[in-house]
Amino acid sequence: MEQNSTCSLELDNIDELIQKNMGFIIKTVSGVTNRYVSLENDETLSVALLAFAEAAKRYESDRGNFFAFAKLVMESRLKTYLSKESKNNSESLEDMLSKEGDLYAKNVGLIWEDKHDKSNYNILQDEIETLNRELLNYGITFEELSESSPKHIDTRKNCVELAGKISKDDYMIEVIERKKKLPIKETSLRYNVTEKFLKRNKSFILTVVIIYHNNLGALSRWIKQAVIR
Amino acid sequence: MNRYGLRKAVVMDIKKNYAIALDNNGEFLKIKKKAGIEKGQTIFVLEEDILGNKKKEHTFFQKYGLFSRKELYVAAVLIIVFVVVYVDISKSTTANADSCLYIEGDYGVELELNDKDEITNVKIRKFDKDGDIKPDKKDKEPAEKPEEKKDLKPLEEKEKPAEPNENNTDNADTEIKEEAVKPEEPVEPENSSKWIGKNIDEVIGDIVQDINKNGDKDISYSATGKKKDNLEKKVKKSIH
Repeated sequence: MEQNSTCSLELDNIDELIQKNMGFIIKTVSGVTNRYVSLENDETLSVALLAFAEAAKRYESDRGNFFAFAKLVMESRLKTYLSKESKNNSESLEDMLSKEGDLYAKNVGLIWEDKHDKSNYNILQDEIETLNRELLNYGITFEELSESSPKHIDTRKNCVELAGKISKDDYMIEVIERKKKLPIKETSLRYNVTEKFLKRNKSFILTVVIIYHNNLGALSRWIKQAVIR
Repeated sequence: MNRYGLRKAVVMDIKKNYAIALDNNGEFLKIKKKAGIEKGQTIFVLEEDILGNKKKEHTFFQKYGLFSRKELYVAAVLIIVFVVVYVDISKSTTANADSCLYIEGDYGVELELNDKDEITNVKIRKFDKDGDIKPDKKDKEPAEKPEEKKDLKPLEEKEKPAEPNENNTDNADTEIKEEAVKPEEPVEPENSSKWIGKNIDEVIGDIVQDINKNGDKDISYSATGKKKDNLEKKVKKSIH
């Protein structure tokens, strides 16, 4: 396909349009595939992005509501792609199509925020296994974390900061590993935080300490970028 | 990205009916379990994919109710209850007048007063030629109050020295329901309801005057209730 100047002019507006409507696009894909859109299998997202861009270019107001139209185009392309994919047909054509979509995704900068995203999958899987094992020693489960973790981002930020300090503190690490829990009084005195704060967030804090202490790189990066906003 | 209700999240654990993911805000979320989900995947999560746990769930009251906390509803209900009880008590205490004043001249005036000495009710008792009390046409309250009847009884013994016929005083109570329209009608005020709501001090003078148009009657009076003596003094003062 051509990559001429007229295309690139329109690209700017379409990038913005895509960014604004990412939720809509992803929802459409999810609706067709009945799965979560993931970075690991983002070909469907590429196809959808391309379809969306196409719809934006081709749209004229007499075609009714834009979103209804765009949805139709995306769904049509996706269905075509999926059926072809399952038949293992014309792979190169599909590859090309998904690469077109990749262009948009890159421009948007949304998916490729973290360049390591795609290769992260296996690494993350290992790290999560390790974390799960370690957490069990401390009586912490992911389920518990989903219920007890601080809901407010500022609180989480403070927890992550504290966990960072603790993980570099050999003395604290030794106590934690020995007692298999976070020593509230000692931590409160040593780092000048309230016992109340520690009691409420001890699971989350400990989890981050364990992530850091066990050098779980991908998870560490994830946590850090989560709170540096 | 979050502005559009979208988050990135890493799948941490998969349970029977849901999954747990760590999102790009550092929050551990419970999310819907969809086909093909695996631990370690980095996925896009829409708001509708997030499962409400006990804390996040919106109850009917949280969605449509006025208050944010259960305790406020309880407090509101209690306040309403107290107000209703208070009003109810006030009403019932004022319904029975704090005091009653009966003054007699050309005709009998029965006044019910509240604790502020304001007239809450007026009843006129007219006498017929024989000095019997006529049925009360101007009764504001349909029900006769037994206490008042009892009050009348002892009064009648000291009443109406100027009246010619002093018979049948004992039968006054029982004859209240009799109809007896006699030619000589004692004078009565046009509109005794104008006294209602007024303080006794304001109108006692008018009442006494009205009751004794010719100025020649001996006014008799009697009061009941807490302020009995006070009221009787007032009437006495007015007469002189």
